[in-house]
Amino acid sequence: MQQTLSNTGRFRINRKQLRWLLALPIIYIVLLLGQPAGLDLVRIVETIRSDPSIILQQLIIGLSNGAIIAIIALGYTLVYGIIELVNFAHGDVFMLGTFISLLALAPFIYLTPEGGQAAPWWAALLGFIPAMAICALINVAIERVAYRRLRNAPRIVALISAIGMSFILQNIGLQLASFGKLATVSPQLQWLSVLGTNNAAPKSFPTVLTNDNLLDLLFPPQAATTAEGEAEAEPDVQATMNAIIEATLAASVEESPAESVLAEETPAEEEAMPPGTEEATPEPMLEATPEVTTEGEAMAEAVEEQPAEVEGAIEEAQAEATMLTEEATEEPTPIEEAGDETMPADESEQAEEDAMADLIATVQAEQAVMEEELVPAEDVVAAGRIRITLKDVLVISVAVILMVALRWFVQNTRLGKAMRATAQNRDAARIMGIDIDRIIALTFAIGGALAGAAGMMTGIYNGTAVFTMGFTAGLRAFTAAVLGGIGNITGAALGGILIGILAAFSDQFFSVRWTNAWVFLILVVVLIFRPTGLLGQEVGEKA
Amino acid sequence: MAQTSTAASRTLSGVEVLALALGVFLAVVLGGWSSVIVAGMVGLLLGFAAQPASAGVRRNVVSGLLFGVAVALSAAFHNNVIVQLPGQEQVPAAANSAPAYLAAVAMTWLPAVGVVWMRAQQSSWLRVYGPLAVVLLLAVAFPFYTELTGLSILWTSVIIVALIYAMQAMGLNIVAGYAGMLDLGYVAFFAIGAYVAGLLMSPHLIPERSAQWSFWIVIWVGAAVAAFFGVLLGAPVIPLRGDYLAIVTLGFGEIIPIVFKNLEAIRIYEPISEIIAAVSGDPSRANCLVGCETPFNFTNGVLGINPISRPVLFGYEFQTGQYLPWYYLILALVLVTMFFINRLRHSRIGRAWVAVREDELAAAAMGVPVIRTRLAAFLVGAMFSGFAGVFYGSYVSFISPDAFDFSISVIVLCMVILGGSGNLIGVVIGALVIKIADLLLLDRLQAVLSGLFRVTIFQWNQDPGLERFFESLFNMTQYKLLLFGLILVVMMLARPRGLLPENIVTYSTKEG
Repeated sequence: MQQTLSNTGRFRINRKQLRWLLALPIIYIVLLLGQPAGLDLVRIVETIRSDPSIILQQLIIGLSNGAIIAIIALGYTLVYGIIELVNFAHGDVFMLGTFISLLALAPFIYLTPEGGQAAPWWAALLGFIPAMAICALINVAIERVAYRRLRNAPRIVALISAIGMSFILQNIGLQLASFGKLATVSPQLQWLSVLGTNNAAPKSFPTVLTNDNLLDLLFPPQAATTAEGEAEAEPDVQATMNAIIEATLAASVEESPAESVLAEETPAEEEAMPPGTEEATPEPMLEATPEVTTEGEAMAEAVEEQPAEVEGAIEEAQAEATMLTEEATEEPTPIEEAGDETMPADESEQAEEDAMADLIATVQAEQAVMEEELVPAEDVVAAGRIRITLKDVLVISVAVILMVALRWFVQNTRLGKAMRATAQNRDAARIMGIDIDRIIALTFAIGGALAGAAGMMTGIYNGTAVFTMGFTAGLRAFTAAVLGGIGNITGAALGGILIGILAAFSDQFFSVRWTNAWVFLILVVVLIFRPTGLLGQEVGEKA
Repeated sequence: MAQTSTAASRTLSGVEVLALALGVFLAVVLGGWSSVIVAGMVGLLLGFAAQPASAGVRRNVVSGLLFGVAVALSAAFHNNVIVQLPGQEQVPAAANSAPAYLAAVAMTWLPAVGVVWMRAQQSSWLRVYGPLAVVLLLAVAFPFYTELTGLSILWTSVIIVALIYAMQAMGLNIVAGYAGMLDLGYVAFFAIGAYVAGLLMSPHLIPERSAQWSFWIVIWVGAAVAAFFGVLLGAPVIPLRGDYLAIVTLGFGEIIPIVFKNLEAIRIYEPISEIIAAVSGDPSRANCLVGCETPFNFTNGVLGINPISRPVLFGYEFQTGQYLPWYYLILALVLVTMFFINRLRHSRIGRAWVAVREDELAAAAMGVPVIRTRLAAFLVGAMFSGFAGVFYGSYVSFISPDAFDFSISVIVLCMVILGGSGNLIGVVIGALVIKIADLLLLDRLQAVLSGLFRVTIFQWNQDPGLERFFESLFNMTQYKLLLFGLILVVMMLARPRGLLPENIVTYSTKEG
């Protein structure tokens, strides 16, 4: 049976080899057709070679975004675990959580000397409380109104109800911004001005934590002076530095004085580096100038070496850059002409103005979403100099605390036990005297609270709130939950981090505009080929 | 005598109360000649809802008249009271006259009584096809109605859009209603149809007008391409359970517009030669396949494709702004679709769809090829969405990827669910109701409300900030999402099978 192709004995191909042979054309087709979607191996390798620390930088960004996604994903997974419902409205609870966080920060906003808006860090920490509490209440209310009566109905029915709820919450998020117009009414309401004047436009958060690089603080004077003083003469000093820093991080070793000493020394120390840094060894980029900052500049630099090859990439980058402005200027006209609403001729002017304002706001919202996605990719300061900010630290640590607390709650408390029992067998749990309704409400409350926390984390980390953000964030989080194995708490955390990292890499190496498509593709592929996810089979973990 | 008094003293049924409330509300908000159209709709609704019993005829004569008077009074209220509010449209004199009000009464009374009378007849031909003929007559006469009465062209344009959605809803009805698979990415096929129209019928890829494809061919091509993608995207999701299937289709529905959005600068190298070129450091070795000099702009990205040419029929080219030809074209398409789907539903494959929906295992045991049946549902459903997409592209003459987001899928789903999934007539009514509410009612309601605010609250409150706040908070046009969401949630809680549930024909093996 194994000699499927030939029986001459010379070309024996067994089934395993056949599978590989089949895989080759598929890989070829993916490489061929993936190019418009940014899957350009040569360019990717070139980017990595010119600045290997990008990988680490994107890993950090991905980790932070992934932590937020994971926290949202926990809400999906908890609810799915207990009543097998895809709580479609969860993403929008998160969106409302972001708005509540913004409102919680609003009274503490002050102006920085540079003219920006900022809020004290303790306000953000305090703000977690109302965000989590209100989101928990919202989620419990949703369950009470829209899901409880459908608990024994077919799954589809409850799912449709959840989609309806999602739309309702989106509309509430849109109209919540109306209260921003009260800001001029009295001085006591001045703080509402964070909601802006246009409902659909994205709202920006005050700066809570600075963007200062923690690594600059940890390796202060030496790093700065060596980099500046010797960068031109001997670029590899800087590179060595980075390699060391990366190695330190990769091995998650505490920064010791010995390494700072290393940093002061000359390239000769390269051999002394700890193992595992091969991929970060900066030899290939010795000739390259070290102040590459963004993807675009990386390309610009690459062009000097291989002009013909990379021209297209440059154009693409430029197109990407100009697209934002184009969208803002050109898009309204055609839509006005021919949107499917088919604007009636005799509509009053006010309505037209409103429509126009809506349109512009939508465009702005989109722009902001694009920008929001672009920002982390541009956070890289200098070549090889990775950046870890207080934001990263805060977001990741809050996420870890929440996950550990949730895990402890589910595993070690009576209520957690009741939750697990309900998840395993609702009827049996009821017979054993567990108040099912209360436990399910509790699950929704926990999920909502987590969504609220994620809202505040997004506010601190990404700094924008739009009423449409719940859909994308929700889908990413749901993808994460499915990827990890829906119903599984650890899986949700793992999936969230994986999706976050993947999205960051896609932003960097493929194209920002295709990231959502890649994420959705993962969702589709996981659901089709492995619906149980990565960690899906552990029944005991289900909660 | 005794019988009449009991008939008259009987309380109104739920549907009648609903129809009355709806009619009065619509007439108050819309007013003008619109109330005549509203009266016609209410009358039809009454006629179909009433029991065609013999005693019902007399009762419907009375109630039809009563309802007509109620609608006419509401219209009068709108024309004389509400129009005084600031920011309202002027009512044409003809709409504020005795003939207009009498027409409203008649339009409620005639269809109600006519339909009930026909349905009470012995002759099966009259009973079945009579009411349909009335509906058809009203549909065909509709645009003349609005033109003759000097009513703005608003209604016709709204109905055209509603019928485009009705076609989609009928297609989704096959997938979700008959075959029981919740497809949340249905907009993908609509987008594919529209983009086929955009690519083949616009100067974007084909600069010469003469070389562009004719609408009458493209509509088939679009449907075929959409059907192909229906099978392509449907095939992998078929083994999945209900909610997973919904999410996967949602994923597809999101990916397709992203693809259209981003395929604007394609340049493809042959991968192996590209790697060789990179390794050897000689860029000329890379074989360029597509978009070598300038990247190939396939879909024009977010800017969309504009202008898409219009259908030409016997030398007459359809024009934007002239709604009559468009209206009849889409009406014909919808009627043909309804006929076709109705025949399909009662054919072997249609019965197989329902069988698979009701009990997959039993159906498989009875020899129904489950996978093929479901694929067929995806194929046919996508095909009709493709028709609708081509028509839409040609009608609005401009498409951009932003027009095909998730909310379209949900709106179409709303229509299917509101009307009653599985019931063709219900689905079309659902589409009409939702689109009329979305495009017409909310706008008018907004105008009325803001007028009300101006004469009440804003009179004693002079604070501009508070004024803006109220205007914004009660801006009805901003509550579309809420409307759709509420429809979904309320329908699921109250009537998951829709307002007009599918009546499942039971076939008996016993000879009757």
